[in-house]
Amino acid sequence: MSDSPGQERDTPMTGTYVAVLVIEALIILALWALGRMYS
Amino acid sequence: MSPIDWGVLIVYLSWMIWDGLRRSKNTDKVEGYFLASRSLPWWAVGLSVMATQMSAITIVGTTGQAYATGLRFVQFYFGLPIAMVILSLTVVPFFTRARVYTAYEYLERRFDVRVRTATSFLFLIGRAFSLGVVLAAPAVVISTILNWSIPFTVLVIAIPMVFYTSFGGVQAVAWTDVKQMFVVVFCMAASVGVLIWGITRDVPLSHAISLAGATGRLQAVDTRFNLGETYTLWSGLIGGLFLSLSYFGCDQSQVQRYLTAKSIDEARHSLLMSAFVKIPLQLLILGTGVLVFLFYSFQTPPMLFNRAYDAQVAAGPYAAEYSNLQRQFDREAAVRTEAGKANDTARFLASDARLKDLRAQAADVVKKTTGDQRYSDVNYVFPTFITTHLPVGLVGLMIAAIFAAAMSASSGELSALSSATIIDFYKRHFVKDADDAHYLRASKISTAAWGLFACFVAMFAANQGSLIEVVNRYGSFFYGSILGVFILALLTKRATATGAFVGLIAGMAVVLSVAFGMPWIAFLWHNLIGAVVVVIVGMAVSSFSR
Repeated sequence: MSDSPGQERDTPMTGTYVAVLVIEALIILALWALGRMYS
Repeated sequence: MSPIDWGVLIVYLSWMIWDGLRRSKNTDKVEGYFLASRSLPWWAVGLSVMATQMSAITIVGTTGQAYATGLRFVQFYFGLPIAMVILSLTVVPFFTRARVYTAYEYLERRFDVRVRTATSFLFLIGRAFSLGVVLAAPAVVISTILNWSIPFTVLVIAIPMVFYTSFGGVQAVAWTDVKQMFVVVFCMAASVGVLIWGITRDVPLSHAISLAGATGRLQAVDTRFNLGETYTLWSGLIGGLFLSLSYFGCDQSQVQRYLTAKSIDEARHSLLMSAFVKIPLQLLILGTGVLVFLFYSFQTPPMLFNRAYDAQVAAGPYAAEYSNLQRQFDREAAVRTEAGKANDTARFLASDARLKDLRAQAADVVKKTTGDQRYSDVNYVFPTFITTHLPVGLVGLMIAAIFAAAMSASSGELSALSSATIIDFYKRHFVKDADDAHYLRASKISTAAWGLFACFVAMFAANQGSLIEVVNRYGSFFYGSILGVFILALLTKRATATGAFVGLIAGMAVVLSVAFGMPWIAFLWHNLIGAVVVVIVGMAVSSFSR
């Protein structure tokens, strides 16, 4: 199979990476708060 | 199960085989067979990546674990989203541009054939045995539920899976994974609906949740830094990060998935899909386990969920003791239900502790009677709920979902085993200049052969609990060390082939020493230790061997 230019498509995704980390932090915080609330 | 449930299960398994075979029409070249001609959309690759990790044991074992201990297992996945970001920035563009078939192929370009062969060999050994376990573990549970023999259950799971993987290659794997993920998520969501409906017949949901909180089952995050505790915030974030980097960055069963994506961007999106979805999905499964606990808090649960030895215990020397425990258990379950309905938390907790003690005593009676010291009923909690409380039709679909998870977890591994065998060994060392049709035939034979091997391992492993544990631990012996080799390859220019090879051996030796010499260190930390040792030793040896 020959290379197609589409396979090299490589755009910056800084916003998505930041979103992943922020959402993970929020999930951990929410789980911690849930545990505290019901302990 | 009712005839309707059997019908659902049979239709589902037939559909998987038919769909897998349909995909074989597009796999007339090796690149199509192993990499779907690098043409899959990100969402299909992303779902396939998640399906490969979600084995049947994830569904039945994780819910059972949450029934007993709550949500804390979710910490195991805290490192995963961070790993996905790091891999999207580093490994994904690297492998995609290198146009490799296997992750290990790149190591020959960077170092030498020794390093490639050693890492690929470690992958083959580890995955081949773990594939057997991935088949065996659900087979043991399903065989008890459906009253089938273990070999027959293994074959019912393995034959359709080997069939569609051998003929359809990675395209069949990916597209069946997509369907299987939808089936699994739909069934879990439906179970949650039935559980909430069942619980709220007795008490308001908020009241039930506060009872779960009182038992400690909602304590998901443990902030203590304790190397001996398996699941803490820190072991999940640090040890889990290195495990995920290693698994998604260096394990062919995962690398092969994102090499099938149309472009670098699509491969990244597929991994980032896991980064967003994996923890919520795991919470859905763990939350289901907590809901099963609440459901059984308002009606009498079975004293033991694994009923495999019921007849033997009833006819054994401890039958009277067991009957006595059963009577006490039933009385205490009624007390717990009453306390729960009255929102008397202190009485509920005291009663729950006594029930736990009675269950432990009953398990001891089973062990004394049968001699099976590994007896456990964790994996039987959710299947018992499914078969006794879900409506007709949904039972069949849920059992189909457990089959689906067993097949999707093993088909990806099977395809990866075949690709490493053909690309890293057969084509590299034995038959170097054959045509594409020859390698395609060899690939299909290799897939079927690994499937057969996995069936044998599964039938043997099903009766060897200790073997299952050994195989699970084996992964952490070498994962970190292989990650160390890839760190040397990708992040430094100074590392030499000899440095990487010696570093790999040193990393594995240190991890083995830690695992056996310091067993109190939780296994997630082995991944960090292995990677660090390989990098340090590899760089030191490289500075002398240049």
